[in-house]
Amino acid sequence: MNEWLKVKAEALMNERKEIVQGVRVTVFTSPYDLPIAFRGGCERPGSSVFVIEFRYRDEESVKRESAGPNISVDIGVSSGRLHRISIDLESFNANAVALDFEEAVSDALKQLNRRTTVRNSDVTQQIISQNRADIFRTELHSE
Amino acid sequence: MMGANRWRIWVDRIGIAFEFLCLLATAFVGWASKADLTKTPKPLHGLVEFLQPHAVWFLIGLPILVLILQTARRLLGRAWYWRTIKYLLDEMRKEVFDGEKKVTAHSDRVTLFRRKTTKIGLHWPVFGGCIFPVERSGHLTRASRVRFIAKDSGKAEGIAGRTWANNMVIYVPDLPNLGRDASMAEIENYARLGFVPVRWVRRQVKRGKSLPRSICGIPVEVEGLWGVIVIDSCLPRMRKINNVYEFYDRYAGVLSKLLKEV
Repeated sequence: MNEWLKVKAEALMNERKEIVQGVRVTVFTSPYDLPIAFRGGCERPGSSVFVIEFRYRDEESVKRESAGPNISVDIGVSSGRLHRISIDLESFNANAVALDFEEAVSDALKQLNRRTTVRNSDVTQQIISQNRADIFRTELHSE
Repeated sequence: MMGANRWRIWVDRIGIAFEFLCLLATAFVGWASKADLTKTPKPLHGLVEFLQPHAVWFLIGLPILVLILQTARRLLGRAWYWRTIKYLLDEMRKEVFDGEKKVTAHSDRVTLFRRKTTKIGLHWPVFGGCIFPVERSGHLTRASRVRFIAKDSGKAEGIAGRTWANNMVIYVPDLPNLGRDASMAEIENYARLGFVPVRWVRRQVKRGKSLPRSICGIPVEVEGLWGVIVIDSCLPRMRKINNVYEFYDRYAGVLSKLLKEV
């Protein structure tokens, strides 16, 4: 498993204008929806299960759900935030692991939009897409 | 409620002093119950003579009194939790208004609001849910009794209520500058932009109170949404509002742990 990497909050605050009750206001993502750190890597040395984990400011219990064939996710029970994605690499074509794998993660995240909070889902997708090299570096590039 | 925190501090102090006295008294009664009256020092003779027939009741009653005091202090919330929470709000204020010249303690504040569903007889509205201040930075305007609607249905008032209902950071800069001579149209515009009732704004203007020019609400979570921190300022814009995230990086965990206990 790779080490935890700190998330730069400023890049993910997602300042935007929204109409709230007919008033145009500036809104930002809640600090609690922003992970403070993330990491990616195999669950254990030699394991075929690849995981991406997110750490948040507030601790909470999680529930595990299926998000597609060989993909499971841990979602915060009360907040609906994404805490962990686990993917069984054995189900992917060994010749094109990186491509297939990243697509699978992307598909799983799209499915998750319905179950996690929208803002947290946006943020976690942003983190993964902006940090592909860091998240997938060890296992996928050594294939 | 913020005024109530001063009471909490005094109840806590008095409670600690009483508990200490009760423990000393219990030890003394224990000694007095078995003391030989002929050998007790003369100044204590009368007291020991009085205590001996009632010693059992004192030895049962005093520990019960200690337990009651401890429970009361726990129910009211430990005073030092509130002192620490106030310190954190002061720190947040420093972060957001760092380097700003025209800020004052009464007009540029950080306030912690708590949302509760019912609080019969103490808060308005009684049923349905409201959000009210529990602690504030600085030493001024601490007697606020403002209440905003924050219902489960999503109906909410004020930036505090709307932040709670939407569960995201809401920032409203450039609010109108209202003086005592503000027109009805200006008052209505302010009320609309600040999500507050017109009558509330009108009352504040009549009383000559200065209304904030910019407000920011930030959710506070303690195993779920607990309340809101509201930063309000006489400045039209808070240039360092992004510093809030740095503050949360450092203190959100501590704040959650403290709020869990109060």
